[in-house]
Parts: sequence; structure tokens; C-alpha cells
Amino acid sequence: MREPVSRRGFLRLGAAAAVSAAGAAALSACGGGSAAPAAKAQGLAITLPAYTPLSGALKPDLPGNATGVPDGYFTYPKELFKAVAKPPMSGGTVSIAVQTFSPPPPGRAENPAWQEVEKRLGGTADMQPVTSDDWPTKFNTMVAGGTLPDLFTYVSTQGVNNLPAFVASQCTDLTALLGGDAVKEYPNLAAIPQVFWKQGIVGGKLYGIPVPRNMVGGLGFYRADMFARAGVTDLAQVTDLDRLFELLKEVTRPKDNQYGLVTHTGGVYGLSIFAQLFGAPNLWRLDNGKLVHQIETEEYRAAVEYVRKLREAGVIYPGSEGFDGLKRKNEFNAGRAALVYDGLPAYLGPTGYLQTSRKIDQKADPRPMIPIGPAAKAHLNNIVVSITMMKKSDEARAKELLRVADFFASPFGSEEYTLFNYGVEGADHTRDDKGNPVLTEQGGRDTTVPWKMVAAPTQPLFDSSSAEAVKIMHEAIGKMIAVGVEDPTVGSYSPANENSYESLYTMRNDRVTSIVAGRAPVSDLDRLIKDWRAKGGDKARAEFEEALKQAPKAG
Amino acid sequence: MTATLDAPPTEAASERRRTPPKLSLWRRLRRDRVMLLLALPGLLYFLVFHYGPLFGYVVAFKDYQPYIGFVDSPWVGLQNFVSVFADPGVWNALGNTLKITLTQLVLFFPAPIALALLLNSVLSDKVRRFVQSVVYLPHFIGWVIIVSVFQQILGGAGALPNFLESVGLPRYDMMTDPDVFPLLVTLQVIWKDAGWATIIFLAALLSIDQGLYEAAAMDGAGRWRRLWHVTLPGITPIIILLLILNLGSILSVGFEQILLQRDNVGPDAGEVLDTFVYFNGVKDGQWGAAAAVGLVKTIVGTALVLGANKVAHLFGHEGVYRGADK
Amino acid sequence: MERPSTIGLVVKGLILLTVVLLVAYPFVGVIGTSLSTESDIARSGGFVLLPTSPSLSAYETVFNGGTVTRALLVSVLVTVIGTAASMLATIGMAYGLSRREVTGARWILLIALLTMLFNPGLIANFLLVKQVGLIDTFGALILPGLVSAFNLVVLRSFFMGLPRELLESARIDGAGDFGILVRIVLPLSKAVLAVISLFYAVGYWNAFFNALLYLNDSDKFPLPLILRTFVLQGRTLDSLAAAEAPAPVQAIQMAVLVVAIVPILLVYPFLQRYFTKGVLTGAIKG
Repeated sequence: MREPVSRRGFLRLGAAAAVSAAGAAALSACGGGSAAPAAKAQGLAITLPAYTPLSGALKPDLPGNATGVPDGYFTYPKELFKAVAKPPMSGGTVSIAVQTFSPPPPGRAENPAWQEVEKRLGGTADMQPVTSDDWPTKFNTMVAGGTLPDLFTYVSTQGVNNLPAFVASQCTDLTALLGGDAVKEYPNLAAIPQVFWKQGIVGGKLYGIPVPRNMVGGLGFYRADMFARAGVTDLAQVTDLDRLFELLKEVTRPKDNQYGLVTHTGGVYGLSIFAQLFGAPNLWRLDNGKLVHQIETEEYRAAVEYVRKLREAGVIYPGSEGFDGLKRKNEFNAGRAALVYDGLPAYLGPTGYLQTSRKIDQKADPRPMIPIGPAAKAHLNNIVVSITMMKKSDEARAKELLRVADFFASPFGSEEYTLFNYGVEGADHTRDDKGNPVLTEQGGRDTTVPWKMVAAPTQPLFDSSSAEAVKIMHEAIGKMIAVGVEDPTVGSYSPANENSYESLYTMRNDRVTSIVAGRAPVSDLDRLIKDWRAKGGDKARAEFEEALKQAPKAG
Repeated sequence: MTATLDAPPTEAASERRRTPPKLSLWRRLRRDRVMLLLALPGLLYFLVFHYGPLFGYVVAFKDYQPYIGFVDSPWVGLQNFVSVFADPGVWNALGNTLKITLTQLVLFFPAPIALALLLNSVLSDKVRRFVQSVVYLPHFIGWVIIVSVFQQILGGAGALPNFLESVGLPRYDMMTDPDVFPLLVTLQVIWKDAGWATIIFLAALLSIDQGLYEAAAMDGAGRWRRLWHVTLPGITPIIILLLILNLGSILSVGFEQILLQRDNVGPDAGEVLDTFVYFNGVKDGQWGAAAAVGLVKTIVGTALVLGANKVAHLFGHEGVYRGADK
Repeated sequence: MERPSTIGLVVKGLILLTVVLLVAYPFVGVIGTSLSTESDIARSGGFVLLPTSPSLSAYETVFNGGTVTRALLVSVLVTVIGTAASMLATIGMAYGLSRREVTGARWILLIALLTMLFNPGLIANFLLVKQVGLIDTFGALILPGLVSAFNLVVLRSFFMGLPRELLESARIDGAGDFGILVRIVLPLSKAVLAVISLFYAVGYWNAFFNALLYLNDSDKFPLPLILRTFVLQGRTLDSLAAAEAPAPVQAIQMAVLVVAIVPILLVYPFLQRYFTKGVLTGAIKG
């Protein structure tokens, strides 16, 4: 119901304020990202797993780069390679509970893909998928009942307070097992860049295995066909935000039921798009050791005023502040709005914006919005989908479970990746004339087992149905990451932030929504800032600043 | 027909006469053994499954975290209550909750009774059955869909504003008007549940002794008088019962329904107690805050139910539960 | 009885017609949308009364693979067994407490009544169910909600409303407490028993939360929990969309709703048979 991309990111994770001076030295040492030896002493010094790309990897059609731009592929690799030489387990069972976005899968007995996974795993996989909306509830009962499985999802919204204490009492510290070169025992995990691993730090130690996503959440999507009808055939023609305003006004034709922007409940009128276009910080901005919060900046205020003016100009689809996410998507797909805020992952795939809108209108041309104007930034707020934690286990078991995670992190183009995503060839998928796997009906069901939520490689861009779409996405992500801004507090831990994050987030959304809706004047932003500071904002700031002073930036 | 009107007091009086004053406990248990045995499974159920988990309320006085457990989580005294109720937002939410529940009590509560009376007066069996089996259906539709139907009709680009514009009136979007939010929410509840709620009143209407109507007709009572003197008294006990039980949940409104729509009108009008706790406690992992509010709701609800029950007795009705009946 | 006036009839008819239309409109829309294609849905803004080219693909998606079919079976069993168990317990308790002179009846009733107002939190409930050993059993879907205090109080109130004279005369004829229940009380309470069974059955039929909390094995999941995933996860059914033309998400959501309601539609007329007037006609002298 709220934003599809958790803009909270993984702020709650992160190094504790108490990283020692000795630890700080090691942190800066790993800045180079390579040969820092795993710190064994005290476990306070965090050395991220050394990034070691797989040798002999595939040649992508569109190469990615070290900043997080993913590889792009137009076709699926014909020759699959084996990513894991021998089964990670020798008998026994691994219990897994992860959040899923799919309907429940058929059980092991009727699921050849599941059987094949276990064969290659060398053991039994007791997989308990829980729908993402229900995950916090289920997770908390597992914790309270003492029934945490071996490997489980952690997302920031699941209501654990004092995460450092939680992981210390329940989870396996992975710092020594994966830090530095230790990760090389698990080549697929080692191929995950450090920017992702940073998301797995809790209280100065590594507790999470990242499940990577696309780095940026994006700036929503626009209808190139609708812009073209207003004379803009290329976004490059829109040189500044005033021009964008005019453009959105031009495409607004209430008589034809067409509007510039559609929003939904909790969407704050697509403010996220404009906050990024105006260059507002990704939650916090670090300025000479001082933190400034997004809402305290001129850029943010300008974005709020801009959106308010959009609404006053009738550009925003009336009543869409009451739409649910699906309705918003439908209206955009139906060509009744030219701009929508939604996360980048919603673009490709059979139910993504591209294919769905084309089903309604062949000429529909939705594209990811890209940064416009000199000030625009893109927030790096979609780095991982979740992290996976490990129940407290002895070292031998922990290593076995890491081999399991390594197995599930097998890269694109491997036999294993193909198995997790497309099942068994024959029963679950066939290859089309270009060699792309096509799921059979059974495959569609069998592959709903959320193996890819246990661990995953970095996500390549691949859509066999449209090379054009892959190119568009690749280019857009490239442009965004080029102006990408990190949240400087990632890697730091603030109890005040943890205790009041959601209530402050709600307060901010509510007040800003009221301002844009015209129920409150723009000057209400000052009251918001005042209340925000009093209700925990200032405290979080002080704690973060302290933590940042003690622990120079990692990574 | 006076028999029905006076039934409870007479009954109570006759009972008092019938019960011998000094029977030993053992003799009384022996006398009631069948009745008590029949009630036993239910009693055990309530004790185990509802009184068993009551220890959960300690959370209201603790800084509870599931990984630490109920026993070991530190006591914090009244801190949870203080931190919730010191926030002015909670009072706003409380006000909104009461506005909505009271609107519902006034507008929603009578709706199924009226509908049941109307249905009951339909002579054609076929028509009655057909209507009956249609009106209860919306109960099964989830709030997401109901809200989107309302959106489509009343919302900004919906049918009503479009119609208003076409006849030259200003567009009006009821969905985003904070002033009518309680009314809107109540309309939705009526639409969803009025039909469903008639079922119980229909059952009550059916168990009225038909002989009473004949007797009234013989006394020359017309349709309205029969309604007033036979029908209404016949269903009064169940009306009072449901009214009292409704009072118990006066601090709760449909969480999902409100959550879906509070952003339309903003928290000043749309925040209720449950959403307040959700956003300002549950989501931040503050279990204690939610438990504290839950405890307050339980206490208020209990007080209201027992109080209303007493009032019902004063008026000579059975209410929900007959207390000190000496 | 005298015939009602024509005006009265017309007004009554109009009111009922309006009510039926108000209720039926969205229902037709739900069914229509469940049969629609993406472009129908786009054109109508998400709610299709009359699909241009009806398609069952949403239903195929839902039933594809047997997960839903198995869950349907689980739900039917849980509903039937649960409703029977609940009715037995509730009838026994309501009757046992329906006479005020029964020793301790007041206290027992108060104990039950207060539970309507308790909510000690889901973790406490979970720990209890775990302690009782019901985790991952079908019992966890039935026992924690065996008796509803609301239903209990309502049923008891109906039992108390029965004419005492009837019960007394049965006792004079030599019937014991149990005999009175079976021979007099139950037959006279068919309508309310039908209502209460409906309440229970619908409760069991729609319940997903207990299943979510207490069941881990997805093979045991009842229908609502499975269907919920279709509705909740609407936006990301990618992996199910392997077919040439995946059904629109909106259509799937509506199809899910239809699937959930149809069994209730089937049962309702059966219960309606007990909604007959005149059970008490002439039972006592007017």
C-alpha cells in the first residue's frame, strides 16, 4: 500500500556507534575493497567480503560496471555452466523461511524442480515461504516461539527493536566466516560487490547475506507516447523543471480523461520523483560532519511547492490520492496519466508496465523517468530486496549453511540459476528458437518456490521479449547511478532512529500530503521540521553524527 | 400481548419464588449437573484459549521484545502508557474514533433492524427470500474492493463529480472531504454489513409467537399498532443485547477500511486509535505501546458493557448478563 | 390480516428494488471483471460490468496446479467439522446457562462474556497454541475459535426467550434437562440455530489468520490463506504468467473473490429453509 520500494532501505542495519578505533583502521583499509585480511581479533573490525568477480563469466550484450550498473542480456546464454562443483550439503536438512511475492508453490512431491534442487543441494530443503505482507507477523511468532529456521529473511519493517541485541542473541556472526578473503570459499557470494554486503552489517558485524536488487528505486515511469503527442519526442528536450511543468500541463486533458500524473494512497503525489529531480538528499546529507535531513533542505521544499502547484494546475489525476497501487497502475497503463511513481522492478516482465500497457494499446510507450536538469539526483535506495540471516549455529554448520547460500547465489547463465528461475528443462521450461527458456504451465507453478529470496547473484537485466526494453532500462539505470546519491547513514546505527523511524516517516508523509492537497499552507513545512526534530529527529541526527565520527566511511 | 412486554420482570419474580432459599451447594450442583456438564466444554475452552494467553498483557508494562521473551523483557512501569498518551496525536485519534463509532451507532445500527422489519412485512415468500439472499452478499467483499467501488462512484474522477459537472454544479469529491469522513465510512459499513446484520433480526422476528399477532388483531390493533406492540417488543431483547455488545467496541473501527482511506483526508480527520498505534508503535517494533492501548480499550469496553448492562436492568431488560440477582 | 395499501406496496417495492440494485451492481462488476481482458479493464477504469470478450483465464490461473483445489478441500473439511464442533459446544453452553437458577451460571457467563473484550496479543495466543501442541495441526484452525462469546450470548438470549410454560410442561411430562433441550428447545430454535451455524461456518470459511500463525506446512493451508496471496501479491504474479496471455491481475483478484463466495451462495438457501415463520404459532395460548 505504501511505496513499493522501501525507502527506509536498510537503515536499521548498520555498524553500531561503538566501532573502536582499531576497527576504524581496518574499515578504511577495506576501502580499496581488496586485500584487507580478515580481522580475527575482537570481531569489532569489520572487513567486508573481498569482491572477486567470477572468472570466465558470460559476455553480456550490455556490460555493467563497478558502480552497480547491471549487465544486460538480450538472449539467455545457450551454454550453461555449473556454478557449484559439488553439493553443498552431505545429507541432512536445511530449514528456510523467506518472504515471497508469489502464490504458494506445489509441494516437493509434485514439484520436479524442487526435487532437482534438493538433489543438487545434497540434502533436504524445508522451505517455508511467507507472503511479504504477512512476513513480519510470522517472523515475530517464530522468534517468540523459539522456532527460527536455519536461514531467514530480514527486512527492516518487521518490527525488531534493538537489532544489534537481537542478532547477538539469535544469529550467527558472519564477519569472520566471510570477511576479506574468507569469502573466497564461496565463489558466488564473493562475486557480490561490497556495496551490497554493506547492507548486511548490524552492530559493527556482518550478519546478513544480501539479496541484491537494482541499486536505484528510480524516478517512476512516463508515457513517451503521450509526451510525443505534446511535441516532446525525447526527454532531452525537457531541459529544466519549468519545461516539465508545462509539458505535464499540456498532456492534461480532463475532457479526454487524461492527466499529467497519477498517484495513490500513501504516494504523496509522486513527491519522490520531484524530490530527486530537485536534488534533495537521500534522506540525509553529510556536510562537514554535520547531517542535514531531507525535509530540512531547500530542495525538498522546492519539490513540495512544485507538486502543490501541479495539483493546483489540475495536472494530478483528481481523486487518485485514494487509489490503491493496482488502480494507479491500471490508469497509467490505460493512458490516462503520463507520469507515475513506481519502483523500477515494476517495468519488465509479463505483468510489468511495458507488456501490460502494450496489451491495451500497441503504441503505448512507457519508459523509466530519468534525471532531468542540472540538479537532479537519483537515490540509491533499492540496493537489496532483503538480507538473509542465519540462526546461531556452530562453525561447521555455519559453513555448511554458507555453502547453501552460495548455491542459491549461483549467477545468471549457470545451471543452478536456470533451475531456480526456470525449473527443469522439459517439464518446467522449453527453449525457444533463440535459446531463451520459456516456462511451461507447470513451470510457472514449480518456480514459485522462492529460492531466489534465500540468496541471489547481482541482478542482470534480461527480457527475452524485448531487447529494446533491456536497452532502455540499462540506459536509464546508467543515467541514474551516474547521479546517484547514497544515504550517508547507511552503516551507522542510531537507537533513536530505530525507535521513531516509522512514526516520523508517517508524520512527514501525512503533513506533506496535507500541504500538497491544500489542506495546509506551505509554511506548515516549518512546523513539520520543528515537530520532526522534537520527536526524535534531532536525537537520531546526533547519534548518527557520533557514529560517523567514530567510524570513517566503509566501502 | 402484555405477557411479552412484562416478561422479564415476571419471569425473574416467579423464579425468585421458585428457587428454595437454602439448598446446600452440593444439592444444587446435583440438581444442575446436566446443565453444568453441558456448559463445561465451552467453559474449558474459554479458560484455556482466552484466559490462558492473558499473560500477554504484561507487555503493556514491559519493553517487550519477542527475542527476549515475556519473562525476561525489562519492566518499564507505566512508560508505555505515558509515551502513547502524552502524544497529542492520540487524543485526536480518540476523537476521530468516537466520531466514527457514534455515527455508526446512530446511522448503521438501526439500518439492519429497519431492513429486517421491511423484509418481514413482505408477504410474498419468493420476493422475501430473493432479497434476503442478495443483501447479505456484500459482507463477503473485502474492503479493498469496496473502497475502489466507492472511489469509482464518488471519487475525484468518478461518476458523481462528473454528473454534477454535467448539470452545471461544481465538482464534489466526497472521498477527500475531511468533514464528511465519518459519514462516508458509515455509508460504506452500511453498504457492506447492513444486509448481513439483518439475518439475526430476522431470526428474532421469526421466533415471535404468531399467536400474539392473532390476539392483537382480534383486539382490533392495526398494522402499526401491531408493529409497535408485538413486533418491536419481540425483538427488543436482541436489539438491547447487540447495542450493549456494540458499546464494548466503541474504541475500535474497521482498521483496514480506515487504513485504506486515511490518506485521502489526512490524519486530522482520518486517524483512529488503531491506525495511530499501528503507525506510532507497531511499525517501530514498540509492542508495549500497542499493548497499552489494547489494555485501555479492554478496560473502557468492559466498563461500558457492564454499565450498559446495569442500565438495561434498571429498565427491566435482561441485557447481556444478569448480575447481582439475589 | 388486511391487505396493505397500494401506495405502501409501491413504496416498499421501490425501497427493496433500490437496495437490491445497490448491492447487485458491484457484484455484477466483480463477476464481469473476473471474466475481463486487460483492455476491458483499462477502458472501464477497473470495474467491468459487461466484458466484451469474456475469458476464463483468471479462473484457470487460480485453479492451475491443484494448490487451490487442495486448499478448497481443507477448507470444506475444517468448515464442516469446525461448525459442528462449535455448534455442539455453543448449544451446550448456551443452554446450560439459560436458566439463571443454575449454580454458577452467572459467573460462567461473565467469564465467557469478558473474553469478547480481551485481546492479549497475537504472540501470547501463539505461545499458548504452541504450548497446547496444536502448531501445524488442523486443530489449530478450529480449537482457538471454538466458541464465540457473541454467538453464545445471542443463542442464550433466544433460549431464554422461549416460553417457560412449554419447558415446564415438558418437565411435568417427565423430561430431564437434556430431554428438554433435544425435544423442545432445539426444534423451537431452528431459525437462530441456522443463523449461528452460518456465522460459524462463514467464520471458518474466511479465516486465514489462525492458519497464517499456526500452520507452517503449506500443504495444510486452507483456501483463504492461499487466495489471500493472489489478492495481496497481485502486482507480482509474474511467475504464474507463463501462459501466452496472462490474466489481468484485477481479473484474478475478482475471480478469487468469486471462488471464495460461491460455496457460501450454495449453502445459504439450504439454511434459509429454516427461516420459516410460525414455529411458535399457537404454542402458548395468546
